[in-house]
Amino acid sequence: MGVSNRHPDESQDPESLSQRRALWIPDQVRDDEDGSWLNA
Amino acid sequence: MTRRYFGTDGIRGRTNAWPMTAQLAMQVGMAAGTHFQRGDHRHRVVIGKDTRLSGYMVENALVAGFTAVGMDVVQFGPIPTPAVAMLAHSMRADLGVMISASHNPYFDNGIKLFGPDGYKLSDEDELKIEALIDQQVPLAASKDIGRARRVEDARGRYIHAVKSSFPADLRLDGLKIVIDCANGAAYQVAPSALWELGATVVAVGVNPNGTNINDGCGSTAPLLCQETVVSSGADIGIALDGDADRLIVVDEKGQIVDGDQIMALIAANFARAGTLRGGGLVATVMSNLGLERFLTGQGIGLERTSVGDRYVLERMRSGGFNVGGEQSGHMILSDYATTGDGTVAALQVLAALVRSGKPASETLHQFDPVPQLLKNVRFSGGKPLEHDDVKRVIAQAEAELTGVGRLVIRPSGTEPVIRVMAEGDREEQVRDVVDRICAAVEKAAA
Repeated sequence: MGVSNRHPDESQDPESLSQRRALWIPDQVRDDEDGSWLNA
Repeated sequence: MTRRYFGTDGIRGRTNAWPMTAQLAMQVGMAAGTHFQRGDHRHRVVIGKDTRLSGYMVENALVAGFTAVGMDVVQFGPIPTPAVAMLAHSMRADLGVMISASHNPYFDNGIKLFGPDGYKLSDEDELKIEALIDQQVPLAASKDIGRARRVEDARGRYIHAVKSSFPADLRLDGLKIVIDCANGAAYQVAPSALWELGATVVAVGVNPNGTNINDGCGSTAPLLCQETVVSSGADIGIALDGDADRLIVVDEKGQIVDGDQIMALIAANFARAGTLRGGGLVATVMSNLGLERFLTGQGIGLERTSVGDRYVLERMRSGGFNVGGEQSGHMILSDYATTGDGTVAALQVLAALVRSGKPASETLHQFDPVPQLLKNVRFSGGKPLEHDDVKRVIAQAEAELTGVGRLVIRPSGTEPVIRVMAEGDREEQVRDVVDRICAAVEKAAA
């Protein structure tokens, strides 16, 4: 197993968890102003 | 001839320490630029890099060297190593250069060269460039100095080529995929390729800042990918390394699928489709005995080479194989790439997953690996492997493992270390054999 420099509690951090559950969308379908999706 | 600069995978080291300095990078540019001038056309080199802070320094030093000897430079910015190899060939460049230290931390960097055919340079070419580095190469006349420009469509070209390797009758719709780009070279192209093929993408390791490449993410730190797959309820995870020439896969339960399992899956699928060439696959001496037994059961051959993707590729080219790789996740699929390509390999894994219609945990675990143990013994001098007592212990161990296991003992190419690896059906026996050999080497070296 590789070495992780993340804090041991980070995996339980709600913000970190929600970021890691967020879906990735390419820039070309992303609204530059507020980050909402043009195709949403 | 002894190599001063090139190791088994180009030039690599800690930045701002010899040999990974701006000065040497410029000399490499001058030397390689001189070596690859053929004929009267305007010569061109393409340069890609990963996301290390020192990439700016090394890139500009290389540009200075290449332009000084009259070579035009096309700069791609951050892009995977296999993309540089692919585009050097497809864009009719005379040379391709990748600035990366692969899976190493940000403070290291490296220079890998690819010929106009997209393959890593031969030993002969590397030695000639080494000789030129140490010489005063002739500089171009003022009017012939090279020009440099950035191109923006390199990533798009690569994404298109990568997607073309995916079976035309399949899509990734309905699959939730975690992609960990190690904050490295693939942070834009890999999520894009997966998304465009229809996948729902959860991307991590896609926020490079110059110092976080391979830091707690990517194929050498798969915990992030494992945790993200489980927490996001994904069907599969793919972790690339910093320059995206290798990968590790994670199933929906968060379990790691290593390079041996990936090779088994791809080779078996190619064999079923009648597209496996060379009669088998090429792996290294480190690949698990379980892989060998699995392949034998499928009627597929296995050729083993020394450790290193260049040796795997050499054997693939000489024997006409189209699947090869390493347990560590280097995967070479020569129908689509001239070097290891983590994204291309990931798409073959995903194609197999889609075709199976089963969970990744069922599709990707092709065989049960046998217990495998590797220990390193450091020694201060001499040749302990030539000592009579060591030879006797090794011969005895080999006899014990005949038919039930395998022994690989090799000196490291870069440090005074003997690597002792054994594998076999019985874990106790494997441990015992390795411990006995290590003890004998230590005693002989004392």
